[in-house]
Parts: sequence; structure tokens; C-alpha cells
Amino acid sequence: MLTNEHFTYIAQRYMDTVFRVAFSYMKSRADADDITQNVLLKLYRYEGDFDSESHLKHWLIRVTINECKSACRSLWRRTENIEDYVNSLTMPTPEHSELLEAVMKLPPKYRVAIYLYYYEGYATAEIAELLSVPEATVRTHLARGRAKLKMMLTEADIHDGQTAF
Amino acid sequence: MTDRQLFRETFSQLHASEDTLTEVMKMAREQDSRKKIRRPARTGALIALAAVLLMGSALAAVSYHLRTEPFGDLGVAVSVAAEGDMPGAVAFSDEVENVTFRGLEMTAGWLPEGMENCPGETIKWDWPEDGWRGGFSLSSMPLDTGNATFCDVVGDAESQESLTIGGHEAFYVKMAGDMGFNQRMYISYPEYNAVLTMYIGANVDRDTAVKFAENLNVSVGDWEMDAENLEYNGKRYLDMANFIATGVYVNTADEEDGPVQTREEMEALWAERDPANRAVKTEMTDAHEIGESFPVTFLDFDPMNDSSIDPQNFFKDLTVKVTDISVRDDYSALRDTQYLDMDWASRVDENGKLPKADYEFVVYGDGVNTPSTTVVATLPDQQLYMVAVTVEITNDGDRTVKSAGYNGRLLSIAETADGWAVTEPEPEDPSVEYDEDYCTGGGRLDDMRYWDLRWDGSNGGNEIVDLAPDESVTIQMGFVVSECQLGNLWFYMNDADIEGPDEIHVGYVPVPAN
Repeated sequence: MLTNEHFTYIAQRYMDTVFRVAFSYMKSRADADDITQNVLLKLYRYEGDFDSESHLKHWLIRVTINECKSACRSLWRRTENIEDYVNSLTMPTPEHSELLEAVMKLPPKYRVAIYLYYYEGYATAEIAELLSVPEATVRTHLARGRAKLKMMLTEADIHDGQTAF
Repeated sequence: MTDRQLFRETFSQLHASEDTLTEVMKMAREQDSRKKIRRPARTGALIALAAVLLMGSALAAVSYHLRTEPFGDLGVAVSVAAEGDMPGAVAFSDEVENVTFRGLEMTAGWLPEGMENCPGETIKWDWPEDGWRGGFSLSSMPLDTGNATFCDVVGDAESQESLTIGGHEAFYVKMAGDMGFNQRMYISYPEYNAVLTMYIGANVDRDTAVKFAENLNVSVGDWEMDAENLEYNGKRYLDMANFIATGVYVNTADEEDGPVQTREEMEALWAERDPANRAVKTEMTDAHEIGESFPVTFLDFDPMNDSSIDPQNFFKDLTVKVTDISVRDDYSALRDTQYLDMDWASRVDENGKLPKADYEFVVYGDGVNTPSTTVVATLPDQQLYMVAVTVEITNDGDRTVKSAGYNGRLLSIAETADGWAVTEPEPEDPSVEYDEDYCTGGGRLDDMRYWDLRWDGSNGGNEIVDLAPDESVTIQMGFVVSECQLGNLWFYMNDADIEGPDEIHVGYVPVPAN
């Protein structure tokens, strides 16, 4: 089991990563916060060893996704107006806000794959393992997610008269 | 600023709550405290029973009962019957948003020896050596949504019985077939307005499942069901109730699947999607030989990396030339086996030869009047082969193609009395009619098991990162097939959509019959 100091160090370093994965999945800040707490509690209780930093991060994301799946399976969850949440954030430009809103409008399977691929930099094979789906499915989710994202942002640009994404 | 940077900057604005760590430490301390005064498991059930009695008097005007009835020849319908005034009876449109429906908190009070929580799961348990594919998995659903009460159908019911679990009405059913989770138990908790569904793995026997259920600690959790999901559930219950009454499933609950779907409509939709039911042609006009160039379409845009592509030009023509196809019972034709699917890399004997597989033909039923699956024929000891296809892809356009996803596929196409059509391998007994087939030992026509052109750096994958005008790349792709499939196999390429081509029009190259 980790020492309190080691746990605190890891938790502070990775709790935003866990939160972002959970938020991508759950589309709710409250749910993502709950899941982040549950995941960190599991880390606190974890008695195994981690081979490396990447092993630890992989473990955290895997546990986060499993927590999200459990939460979604029961349909018992909280909902939140994404626009309100996005507006509460300090985004550098309206483009950033638009992108987050567009990503959050994608189905969960697409937005989680896109987040892991483009933000966390995981390869499709790694995402496949994290999500427990075939690699080909991840590739499809990425392609379809990107296509939908592109269309949403293009439509938004047409309506808003802004620069194309 | 690149779009990848935009994406990273956007998500970097998301942060967990500031008090996350404090809350975690508080939860850890509370759990430690609870552990010290842990009550015997049976107490939980007794408390639940007491709660039932208390709530029974509080909700005297209504009485809920778990009801089961036969459905078709093989199925069983499980539902909740409400007698009397329904306390939660509010219309979705008005008061439902003000009504709180909470999920169940469920912890195990007893576990079979060696069974433990699945990694990262709170309500799933299994034996580690069984690979977390069985054991127990729990879920809770609203017993009464206000507009409808719980309703479900289980197919292929082999045996069933009504039980009382900790004073609660329960129903156990075991299903036929080789499913991983072949048993279910429904337990009603009227006092919590919930039905607990216990999915039970094939590696657990009935008595163990009952003992596990009797020792479950169940209380009201802090999860709430929002109005949208509540409404969805209510519609689903109503759809299911209608299905039970009429035998026709009309899907009003899921907007994505369309507002109305009868069984016939759903079957027609699936038939339409099934490559075996489309693309009968009088001629294989899109057939090409090895060494011949032909055009294909690729999904070539990447909004994260290239914002300049006009959305009207999502698809771009490239030229493909298949330069070689080899069929071997080992991996010797592959250029670099480090790119081989990890699972398949180890599935060779001491001589590096691929194993044999038994090919099964299965008839699918509905699980209600006909069994879900029946094996009607087998092709035993089918040798597996690696089909290695080498292709050269050239950009004939005037603009660099970026992040072009590529997918090679194999399809069985043969000349029939009606023309060229997608086929399945013939079973041993040609008189046997079959709907589907699968191979128990691998070899079903499936995704690429090998591809050796990958996106460099951290994001590997089946993508061509950049291909400038007049430039070419060479890719080798590998597929595992059974010997019975050889003879009618054709290689083709489509975009990243793995569901197959809309039609036979993307260019097909015959695979030599070994």
C-alpha cells in the first residue's frame, strides 16, 4: 500500500487526468468528481505495485473507465447543463468553449476515444485495451467522432460566421 | 496555433474539485472506522427485512409484487404488479422533475472462497483465475417510475423458481446456452422503489448465488436517476409490457434506434446491413488483378491536424495496386512480425505453424419461441492460414493527403445462379440451412491481424500520416482465415468504417486459393 505522502503526490499529479476522463465519459461535473474520489480511494487502498509511471497512469485510467461504466450501467446519475459548466470555466477564447461543447455533444464512446487519443496521446491499441473493445472499434469511433465533430463545428461556424475549425 | 494545441488547451481547463483529496481522505477514514465495527453479514438482511415491515405499514395503500409469466415457449416475463394507489404515480410531463428516485448501495456480506471485487468495480465480483468474465454483477432499476412499473423478458429460460431473499420477493432464472452470464435473479425492494438485478456467471451454481443474495447489504445510495433517464426507463417498461402482451416489440424508448421498430422492421434493417444480403451483381466489374492499379476512396480529413480541408472534400481518390498476396499456414510471408496481433502471435506450434479450428454453423433464434443459437453443422479441423496482402498506395491528386485511415478487408464473393454475391463457406451437409456461422478457434473473416504501416510516435495506428501528390507508400496487411474460406476470397479496401462496404464498388482483388 502507498504511503500517505506518496499517495498525496500521485493524487495531486493525476486527479485532473482522472477527472477529465470521467467528465468525458459522464458529461457531468458532479459525477466526474464522485468518480475521481472513488478512483483515488481505490488507489489509496491498492496493495499492488506499479512498474512505472505509465503503468500507474494506465491503471488509473482503466479504473476510471470501469467506474464510469458501472455508473452508466445503472442509469442512476446526475445531469448537468454543459453550456452552464463551460461558461463557468475560464477558457482562453470562444473557440475553446465551442470545441468543448462540441466534443461533449458526441456520444460517450466517441468523446472518450477522442479525449484519450488527442489529449492523453494514447495509441489506438492502448485505448482498445483501456476501453476493453477491439482496436478496429476504436479506429471507427475515432473516425466517426472526428467526422461528427468536424460537421458540428462547421455548422456552428456557418451560423456564427466564425473562422472554420 | 494548431488544432491539436487548441484541443489540449481546452481540456486543460477542466479540473477536479479542490476538495477532492480532502474528501478521499475523509472517505478512507470513514471506511476504516466502519471496518472496526463491522456487523455480521446476516444482520444486513435482518435490517432489510425490518425495513420492509416498517415500510409496508407506511405504504399501506399500495402493495407491489414481483410477477412472472411464461413468454413464448422458452421465455419468461418478469414484472412488478402494483396494487392499490401508486405513491409515485406522477406524469412525466409535470411533477417528475421534483421526484427523487435513488439507486441502491450494494455491498457483499458474504463471498465464495477466493472471489473478490473485480478490479475497478464496486458491484461486480468474480474469481481472479476466471478472468473477471463471470461471478456476480449487480444493477438497480426503478421499481415504479410513476408511469410504468419494472418489466423485463428473459429468453432461453431453462429453469426458474420464485424465492424469498431476506424477506424480499425474488425470482431466479437459468438460461440455456453457453453464455458467460447464464443466470439472473431479480429481487424487489419496494421500500426503496427499486428492483435489484443480479447477473450470475456460468461459473457460479444456484445455491451459491442464493447465499450471496441473502447476504447482500442493500441500502439507498446517493445516486439519483434524472428525469430524462426516468422517462427513458418508463418508456422501456411500457415497450416491454406491450411486447409481452402482443409479442411485437415497438421501440419508443430509444430515439436513436427510431421511434417505432417492430420485429420485422428490425430484421429488415439488419438484413440490409448484412453484407451477405446485398450487392448481387451480374458481373464482377470491379475485379482487378495483382499488379493492376485501381482507385479507392479514403476518409482523409483530420480536424485536429488540418483545418484547411473543405468539408465538401471529405473523400479523396487514391490509387491502390496490390503487388502481392500470399497464403501460408505460418507467418513467414509477413515483413515484420512485431506488428502482428499479440494474441495471434503466440498461437502457433513449435514449428511456427498456425493451429486448426473447428468451424461451426449456427442458426439464430429469438430465445422466446426458438433457442437463441443452435449449432446445425460443423467443419472440423479447418487449417488456419495467414493471408498477407501487400499494397502500394499512390496519391494521384494535387494536394497532400493527411491522416488517411486505411482498412484492408477480405470478403467471400462467389458466382451464384443469380450473379456474383457475398457468400459464406458451404457446410459439410449442403442440405442444412443455416443463418450464420462462426469459428470457435478463430478464422472468421475479421479485421486485419497485421498491418505494418503505422503512425509514428505515440499515436500508432492504421493511418497514413502524410502522402504528398505523386508519392506512394507500401503497406502489408494480414488476415487469419480458415481453409474452407479459401477459393472465394477477395481483398478490398475501404475507409475507416469497419461495417463493410455499401456496395461492391471499391475494387476487389482475388486471393489465390493457395
